[in-house]
Order: sequence, then C-alpha cells, then structure tokens
Amino acid sequence: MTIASSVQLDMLNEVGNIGAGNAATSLSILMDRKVIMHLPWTRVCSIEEGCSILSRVGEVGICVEVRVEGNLSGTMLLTLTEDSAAHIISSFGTMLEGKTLVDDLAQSALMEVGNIVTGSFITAISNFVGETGMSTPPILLYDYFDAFICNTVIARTEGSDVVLVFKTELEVDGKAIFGDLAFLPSPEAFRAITKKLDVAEGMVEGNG
Amino acid sequence: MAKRILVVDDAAFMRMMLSDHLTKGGFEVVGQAENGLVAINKFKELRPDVVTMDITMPEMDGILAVKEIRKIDPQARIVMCSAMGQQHMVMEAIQAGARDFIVKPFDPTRVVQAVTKALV
Repeated sequence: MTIASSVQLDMLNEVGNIGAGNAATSLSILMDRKVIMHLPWTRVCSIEEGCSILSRVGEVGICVEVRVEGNLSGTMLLTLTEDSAAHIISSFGTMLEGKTLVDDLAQSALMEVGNIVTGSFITAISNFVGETGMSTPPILLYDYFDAFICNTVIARTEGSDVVLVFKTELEVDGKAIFGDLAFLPSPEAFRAITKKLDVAEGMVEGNG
Repeated sequence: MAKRILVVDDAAFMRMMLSDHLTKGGFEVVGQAENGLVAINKFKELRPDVVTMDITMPEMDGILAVKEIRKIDPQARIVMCSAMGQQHMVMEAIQAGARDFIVKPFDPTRVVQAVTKALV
C-alpha cells in the first residue's frame, strides 16, 4: 500500500500547503508576530525512512504528539530543535518572560503551537478526503531526537508502516524555525487518503 | 461591578491568555478549571456570570460539562472555545445550551464581544 505517482504526491503537498497557510495565520494571531510557513515537499515513506528523516542524531529537541481519532485516526508529530523552541517561547514576549523549556507554562505554550499546526494539517487532510479527524489533548516530549522519534514512530504507526513527512519551513519574526511535521496514519486512514488520491488523479488524467 | 468569569481549558497557557484578554476587557476572572469535572465543581462553588468552556479536555470534555452545568442551572451562560475543525462539536454544545463560541487562537476583541453578548 503506497502512493506511487508524483501527481499524487503533488496533490498531497497541495493539501499540506493549505494546512501550512492556515497554521501560519493562526500562529501569527496567537503570538502576535509575523509567521511564514512553506512546505517544499511531502514524502510518503516507511517507518525506517521516516525515522531517519525525522531524527536529528545527537540533538535535543521537543516533540508535540497529538493523537487523532475518527475515520482519519493516527498520530501527528511536530518536532522542534531546542533553539527553535526557545525562540518560539521568547516570541510570546512578556507573557512568557524568563520562562525556559522546562517550565510548565512554556511547555503549555508549545503544546498550543503543536495543537494549531497539527490541527491545521488534519483539517486540511480531512477536508480533502471528506472524513473526520478529531485531535485529542497533546503530549510534549523533551529529549534527544533519536531517543523519542523512533520510539514514538514505531509505537504509533499501528501496523501501517507508513509515515507522511511534511517538510515544513517555518519563520517566526524573520528567524527560521527548525523542525518537522509528520502524520502516522492508521491503516484505515491511509486507505481513505489513497482512495481519495486515486479518484482525484483519475479526474486530473480524465481532464488532461 | 465587573462581571465574574470562570475560564475552563486544559492548557495552562490558554487559560492565562484568555484571562488576560478578559481582564483587559473589564471582566473579573474568578476561577479557572483544567477539565470538565473541575469546571462543574467550580461552577457550583463560584456561580460565575459566564463560563468560557474548551471542548477537548481530559477527564471530562466541554460538551458533557455544558450539559451537566445546565442541569445545575438551566440559565447558565456558557461560551465555547473551539479549535479549527470542531464545527460539529460546537453545534452539539449550542444545542446543549451554550450561548456562543470563539475560535482558537483567540482574537481579544472577539473574546470580549462573545462574553458581553452572552450576558444579554
């Protein structure tokens, strides 16, 4: 079960771009800062490949994990390097003044950022596929990337061996934020996505 | 006298932000709750003029909490706080008696407007 054609990957990337646009608008309201988000590429890969893309070996970072329920069930992950997470915290200004990544309030703010970004993507995928996906409260992990990424990815793929990686380029107040976004769909959710992509590709070819 | 508000959200940061918007808008935040169960107890204890209620929370979600609070006080004024993609849950909450809703991330003007409207 895979997404083979480049047309389908382009479509998925377009869906992701809608999510990125909505995420940037929402983050900009939340932080009252200029936020830009681009999505240069989207990849559908195996667990092994997904782990190697998402792991930043030897680096410490943050992972916001959001479980999605409904017909588009699965898990969304937003990762951030330690420096980038700290920049996001400082972008909240006086509200989080003096707070560091170990403070509950700073972690709560990062979870909200994770909620917004993952929620925007799930909504975009959900609107495209025509199935519902409901986010549950987020979990935050603060550790070495190689420690949490593979454990999380393997534990959450639910036997589908599929990781959707959305390569995101995020900028907050002119500073680049380093991190990644991934969706680990359940087998049912992935079937729904591929089915919709097949239909959409057929329509593109039919028109061409 | 400033109208008294109970803020319900599982995220400490969102409770802080919302409280800040409400206080600046002339309201008094008399209490905060991190889930639906705590919200029900705080509602009984504080009898606020308006409750702002998040939807997705652990222990008890906001929709069930709206139903329970409206059993305690059928006139309770509740404004839902929803995230993107939760339209159907907002509809369920409105049917259960919520007055209005605001969408995250919160626009300060819209927050004050919704709470003011709920008081009418």
